[in-house]
Amino acid sequence: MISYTDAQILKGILRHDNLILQYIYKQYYYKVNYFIKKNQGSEDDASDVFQEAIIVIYRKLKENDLIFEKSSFQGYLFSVCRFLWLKQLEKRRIEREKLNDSLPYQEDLYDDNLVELVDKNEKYGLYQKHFKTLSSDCQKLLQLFFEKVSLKEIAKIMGYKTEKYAKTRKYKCKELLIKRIKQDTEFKKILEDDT
Amino acid sequence: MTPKAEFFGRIEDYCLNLLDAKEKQEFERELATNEELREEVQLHKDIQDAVLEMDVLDLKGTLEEIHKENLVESPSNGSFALLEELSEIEELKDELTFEELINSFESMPKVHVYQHEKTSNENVHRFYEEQRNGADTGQVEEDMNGFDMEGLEGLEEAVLETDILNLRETLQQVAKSVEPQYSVEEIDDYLNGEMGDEILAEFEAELKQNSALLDEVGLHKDIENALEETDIMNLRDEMKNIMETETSWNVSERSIEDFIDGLLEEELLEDFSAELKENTDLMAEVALREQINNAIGEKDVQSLRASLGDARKSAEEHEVKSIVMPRFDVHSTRFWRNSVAMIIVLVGLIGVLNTSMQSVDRAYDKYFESPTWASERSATTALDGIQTARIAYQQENYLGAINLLKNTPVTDNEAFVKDFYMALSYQNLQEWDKAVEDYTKVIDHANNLFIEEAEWYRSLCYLKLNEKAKAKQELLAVIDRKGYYEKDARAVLRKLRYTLK
Repeated sequence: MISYTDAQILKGILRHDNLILQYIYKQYYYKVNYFIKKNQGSEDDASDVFQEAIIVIYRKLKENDLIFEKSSFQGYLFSVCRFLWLKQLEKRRIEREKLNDSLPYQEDLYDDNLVELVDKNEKYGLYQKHFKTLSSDCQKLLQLFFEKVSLKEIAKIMGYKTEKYAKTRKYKCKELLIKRIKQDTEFKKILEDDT
Repeated sequence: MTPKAEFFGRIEDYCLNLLDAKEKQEFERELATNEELREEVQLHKDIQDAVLEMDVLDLKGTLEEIHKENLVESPSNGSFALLEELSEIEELKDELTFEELINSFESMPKVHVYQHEKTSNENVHRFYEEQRNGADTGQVEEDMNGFDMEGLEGLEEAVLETDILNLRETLQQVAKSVEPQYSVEEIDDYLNGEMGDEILAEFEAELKQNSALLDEVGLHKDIENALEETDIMNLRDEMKNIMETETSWNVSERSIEDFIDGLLEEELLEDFSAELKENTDLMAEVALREQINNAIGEKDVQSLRASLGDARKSAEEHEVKSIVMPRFDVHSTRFWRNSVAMIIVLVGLIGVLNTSMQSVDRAYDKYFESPTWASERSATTALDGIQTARIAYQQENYLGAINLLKNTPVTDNEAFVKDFYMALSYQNLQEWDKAVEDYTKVIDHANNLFIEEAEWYRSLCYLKLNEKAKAKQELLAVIDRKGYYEKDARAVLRKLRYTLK
């Protein structure tokens, strides 16, 4: 199988390169899966953690905040996965001390920046999850609005007769989104964590 | 109002939040220094809370009523009502012998009661004895009430008050979430700078003091930021898709087969074993492949299955009044067909399964390297064209078999038999196109017993011809038939799902 350098992998993640993403999955997922299953997690937990770890790395890359000095991509990925799982264990009130560490990780990567980024990722991930549950009409409308497309233009694209209707519809969509977010128990947990 | 009444009046006003700001401030100043006042206020609050808990009061009332009813209804002798009946028997006033009791109506319960009567040291009897004697009834009731209320207080705390507290908390939480001071529209207007000056000033003033509103505005901002991250949403979707469709192992298909066959060596074996130790998906894949190999290796079972299939077909054949041409030696034809089918399936399937995603060709090469035929009983009857062709086929003289078959005259209704064996011979000669052509004739005939096999072999030919879409379609048709080759077709589809996309 072809192997890629860390630089190629990082570039691939930035470009959402399917081949690189497949490579990462095939190369590292099973180790993360093994670690999580050994530590009271399930297959679903493993795929969630793995996916979010890639997203966290992507966020880091976007912020130009990812330089491997002592670590490697593998080391960083495993460290992030481990960190995410520790957070989950904490939420589930499962003792972290009994952790069965099968992943190589670097404690020094767990800095405030990572904690902050992971928190943001978790919060934004929740909002995005609910956004995806809206009707495609609502999704498109909100997205156009956030892309600063004018109401006139939005009305035209969406086939609404007036701008006023576009505006009202946008409020309705957003209201629904906010309602769903607030009703989510995860949201309440996030709020508790923040306080 | 007397000073005392005024004192209580102020406490009450304070508890009910009826004091104006100045009075309240004054009162609270006093409260901070005056312990007696604090106790009084606390008492008022407790009373107020208790009065508000109407459900608890109702329950308490109901329980007391039940208790009173029980007291009234309790029989004076306290013998589980059984002595009521006994008391009606005049003789019981006197000493009864045990035998007399046994012989009377409902004797066993009465014996039980009799024994109770005899034993006076039991608590229950003491209790009822006291009631019957009517001595200190009031005192007893008071004691009992005390005892009951003590128990009830615990019950109230455990069952009711925690519920009430939780409900109160939940209601507060709900009130917070469902009653925003400003609507989504107003907050959006504020964030988009579309709020009118007058309302804006009011909104901003509120924002400075109201943390809930501040949180609400923060949530709106966060949501907007989150929804702008279309790239992240796309990446997440992409990852999800990969994880749903791709295998999670990091070894090639060939390595898996080589591992099973014991052909992996040194470093490769070490790497494979290391992954196998942790990768549960790979473990499952290896186990599945081993099972398939074992299943394919069960020649006796397959042979039995083929025989059973033939028996079924034979029965059907009988019903449709002989579709196969009558002058055929049926047994011999069936044997030939089964043997060919068996070998093709075994070798073909092993070949297909053993191959890597990209090497369908190699699978066929492997298959045709050393085809072995099951021994066949000697043909002593006169050889017709088909039988001669069979012998040629057995001797791997596929070309000869084809020529013989070509020269064997058959009617249109019987042509499918000839076509089928011609196709098999072409397949052995790796003339896939011709094999497909003849299999197609068999399938197009639409009313014969070779169709399922023809479809199966044709799908293998398509694989060899690299016509993946057709192969997939053919394999799906085989699966739809739910016949003998269904599982094999599923296995091939599964194995080749990457090349068949």
